[in-house]
Amino acid sequence: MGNRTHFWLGQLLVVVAFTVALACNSASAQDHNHETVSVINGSDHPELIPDSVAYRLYFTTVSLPLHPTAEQAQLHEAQLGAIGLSDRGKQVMIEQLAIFKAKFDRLVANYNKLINAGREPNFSLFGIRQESLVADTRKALSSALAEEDLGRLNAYVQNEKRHMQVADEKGTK
Amino acid sequence: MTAMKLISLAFVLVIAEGADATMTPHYSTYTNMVYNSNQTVTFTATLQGNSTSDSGGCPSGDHFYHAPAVFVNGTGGGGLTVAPCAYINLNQSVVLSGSCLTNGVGCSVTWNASVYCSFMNSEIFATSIFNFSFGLAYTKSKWNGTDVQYPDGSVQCNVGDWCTAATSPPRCSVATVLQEPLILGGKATCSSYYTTNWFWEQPSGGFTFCFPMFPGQNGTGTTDSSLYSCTK
Repeated sequence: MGNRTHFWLGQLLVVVAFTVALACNSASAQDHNHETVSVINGSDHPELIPDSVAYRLYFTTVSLPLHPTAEQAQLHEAQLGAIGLSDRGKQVMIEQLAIFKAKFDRLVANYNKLINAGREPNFSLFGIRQESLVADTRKALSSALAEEDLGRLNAYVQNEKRHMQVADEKGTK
Repeated sequence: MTAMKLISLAFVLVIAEGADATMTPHYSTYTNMVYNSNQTVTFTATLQGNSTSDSGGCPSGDHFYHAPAVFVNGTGGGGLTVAPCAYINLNQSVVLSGSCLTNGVGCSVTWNASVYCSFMNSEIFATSIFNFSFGLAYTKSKWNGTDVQYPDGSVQCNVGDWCTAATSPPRCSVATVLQEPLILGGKATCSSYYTTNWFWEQPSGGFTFCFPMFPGQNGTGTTDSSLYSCTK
């Protein structure tokens, strides 16, 4: 084969390879399926929402960021006021939520950092750590809150399950 | 030689783009509503969770991303894009105020959450748009003379609505009021009448839920015997 023939053969192969690449790319987009998972609707079945998930959603929603604005601090006050805690109980909640928030943010940041670095995420470990953090926070609250305050917090979170829609989280456990 | 390099490059592209991924969304939502001290209500919607890749690993590259968003009354959004498997914790709060809180009709709130997926060019997760009303309500009740005494000194007083004919039945009714002793170790007694401040909410087409605005206190005693213009 002469150089010219070799060149045209090469060009042809490149075109074929790119055509295959484009076809695979198109098929790849179709292969990115999204499966659906079952969702527990708390307004219909609050009893099916695990306490650990309900407390996690509640803690993450009402806890303050590290440097809150005056508006966020005011909302935090109102959110804790809605439970009906004593002044001492409110103070305990503020302290424990701040600890929870710092640890939760760090947990999520570390997890997302691995994903962004292209490492294979360990869902199982992440789920265990998340659940463990919620359990530790609840334990700390149980020790520090008066019985009446603890009862009110639990009643509030149980009631809030009506406002939760929780996906099957098997993939993260 | 040049042609061979180009062929190799093309093959590498095939492998990178051909990485198959079946993503499963695991997103949960939560809405929290609280009454502020300045006659306003703050509504917060939270979206939390992640997507898992069933084939292991996670699609990576600039064009593989998920964009979460939460809207409350059309306000909000996301403003961030994350890796498809990243854990999301996003919320949006809106302060609501005005006469709708107390006029009995209620204020209207709509909210929805979604996660847009770049490689589907659509949403991997999307809630319906939730629409419901909420507001504040007031009810007066009268003790019917029966009660249940508890060992800790508290007493459960059985009551009935005490509202004007035009406002009966009220939007929120009280059946019992738990009266705590005024002094620790003492014994509580029932008041003749009680007033209760409520927070009510009604999902579109659903039932009304009422809960006391001040938790643990669903009645404040009073001796005023007049019928009350309750919230209908």
